Amino acid sequence: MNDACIIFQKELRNFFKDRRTLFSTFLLPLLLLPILFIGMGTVINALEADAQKTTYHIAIEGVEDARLHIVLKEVLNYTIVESADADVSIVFPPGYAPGISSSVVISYDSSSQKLQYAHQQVLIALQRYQEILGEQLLNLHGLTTSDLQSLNLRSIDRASQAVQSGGSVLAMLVPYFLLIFLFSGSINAGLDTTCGEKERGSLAILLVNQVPRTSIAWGKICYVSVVAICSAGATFLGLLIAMLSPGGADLFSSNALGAGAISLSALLTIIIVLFAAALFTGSIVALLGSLARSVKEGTTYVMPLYMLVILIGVITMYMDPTQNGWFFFIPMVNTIFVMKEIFMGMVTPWHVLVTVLSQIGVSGICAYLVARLFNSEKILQTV
Amino acid sequence: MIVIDQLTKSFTHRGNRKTVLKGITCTAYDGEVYGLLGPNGAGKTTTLRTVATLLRPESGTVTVDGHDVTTEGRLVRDSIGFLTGEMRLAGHLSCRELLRFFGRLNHMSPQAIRQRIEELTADFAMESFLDTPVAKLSSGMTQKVSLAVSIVHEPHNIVFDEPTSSLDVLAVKVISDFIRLAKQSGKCVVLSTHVLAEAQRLCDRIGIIHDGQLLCEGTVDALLETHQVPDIETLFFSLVPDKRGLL
Repeated sequence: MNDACIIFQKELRNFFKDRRTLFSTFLLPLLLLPILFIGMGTVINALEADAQKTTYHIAIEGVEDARLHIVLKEVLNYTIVESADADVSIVFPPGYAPGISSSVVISYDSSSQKLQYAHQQVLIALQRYQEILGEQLLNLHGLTTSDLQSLNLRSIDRASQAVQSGGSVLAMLVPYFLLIFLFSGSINAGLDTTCGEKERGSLAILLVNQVPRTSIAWGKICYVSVVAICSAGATFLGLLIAMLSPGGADLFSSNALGAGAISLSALLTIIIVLFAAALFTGSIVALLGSLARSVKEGTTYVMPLYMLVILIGVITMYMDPTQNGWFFFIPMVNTIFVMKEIFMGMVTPWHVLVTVLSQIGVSGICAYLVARLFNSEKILQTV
Repeated sequence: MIVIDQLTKSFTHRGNRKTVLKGITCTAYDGEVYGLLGPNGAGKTTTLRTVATLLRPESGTVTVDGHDVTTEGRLVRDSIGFLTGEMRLAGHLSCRELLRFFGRLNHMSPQAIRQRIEELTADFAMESFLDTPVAKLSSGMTQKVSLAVSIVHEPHNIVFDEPTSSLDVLAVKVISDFIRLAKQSGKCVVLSTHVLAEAQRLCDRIGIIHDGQLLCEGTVDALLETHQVPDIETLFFSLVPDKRGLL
């Protein structure tokens, strides 16, 4: 184990001295998500504010009712113009009088974001106008709108407090991003330390040494796993920053990190699960890298798996983790489901245990195979 | 001392089995430089990789200081330094850090590593770039570091596979000087090369290998006298048919 530590330390020291790799592994995921979410939130807010401030040209044909203008004024700044110059036209049929059932045509240009907003507001105003007309008709018969409501509806949300306070948003997005960055973070390091070393001819000198080849395999796998966990950690931090920032929180439209969303024990469980997942991705990438003769060949082996991971991330985004217990035995899928359960406040120790053990188990098999490859003549021919 | 006895080795590629070593027998003694000469694909690299325990003999035996490469791999690796001309050290570690790393891998004590780094730095004149990342070194400097890394544990036997291929003149001199020094200090040096002049200049004994077979073996003088040729180059071309033509 001491030999594995020596290799692990050397690889890690080399990694931390490479500024470009540090940028792409730590800084990029740390900055990318906040910039993305804050940027999007800010842009959307600015567009909304601009749309609200704008005075629109509205044409109204076939009706002269002051009440329509009152409700329209409540939701939109507008001036009345001729149909030809209008941003939005509201056309009532010929012979229309308030109270008569009629078809009203609203025309606008949907290619403009602002006019889409104006259209929505006009619909709201017309809906309100229709309610006023309805109330008027009911009054003629001595009724009010409350007389039409014979059922009093009341819904009770049985989801946990964590879900209600925004946990479901976290449960959907965070596992996906973590998984992607966990895998992408391990690719560069994993291929460089295996087939990259083969390509440079420096693996031979490592193998012609006192160190058992199993130790070499474990040293390299642990190194790739640590890089993967660093990448995932930076992503998680970036996501927290994005959600806590004003623009980002607006985008998520919920108090996703409200009280109780992530407790200390939940955070610790996430870290444990992430370490197991990092070990798994590190060992898989190291195994595929050891099979390849060059980084180029290694990339062709790893890429299909990367696509599969993205696919798993997308498919499981809307899946309910409680439906199929056997999902917790599948590496990667179980990581996503356990994290979903954590964020939804319904995680069970059994699921965490199965997830961690299954990933460590597969990692052990991969380490054994990598060591076998380092002893395999087919592989050693090419070092 | 490295003893190769009746070494055979085959590889299977896409269902085709090819025997690349056909009963090679030779011995490299302590205090001498043994040169394995041959064209590309003759079997030099396979022979040396078997000595370095990277490949296993199919039949026959290879021993290094009496230790069998198949059954006593770790003892063999302890007593050999292996370097290939294709090796390119890269990365962001300095020469000192790399030497320390390989020293630790060879289970040397921190004090022994420090002392060895001082010796190697002096031997290869590496003071000026000892703390420079290897990625920033010239090819000659990198080759010096590669050489230092391969012998950091002071191996008694040195196995160099085409050590001067793709090196400039100054870098070649570093390797040649080291080989002479190693020989003077009683080490056993085996090197493969296809640079015939270099072999004649450096080697005490030479084996010419072609198509997996050792065509002749002996001291340089004895070979030239036996075959009545003026130099190794003439001897080589008299034994190895050139079927490639001029174009």
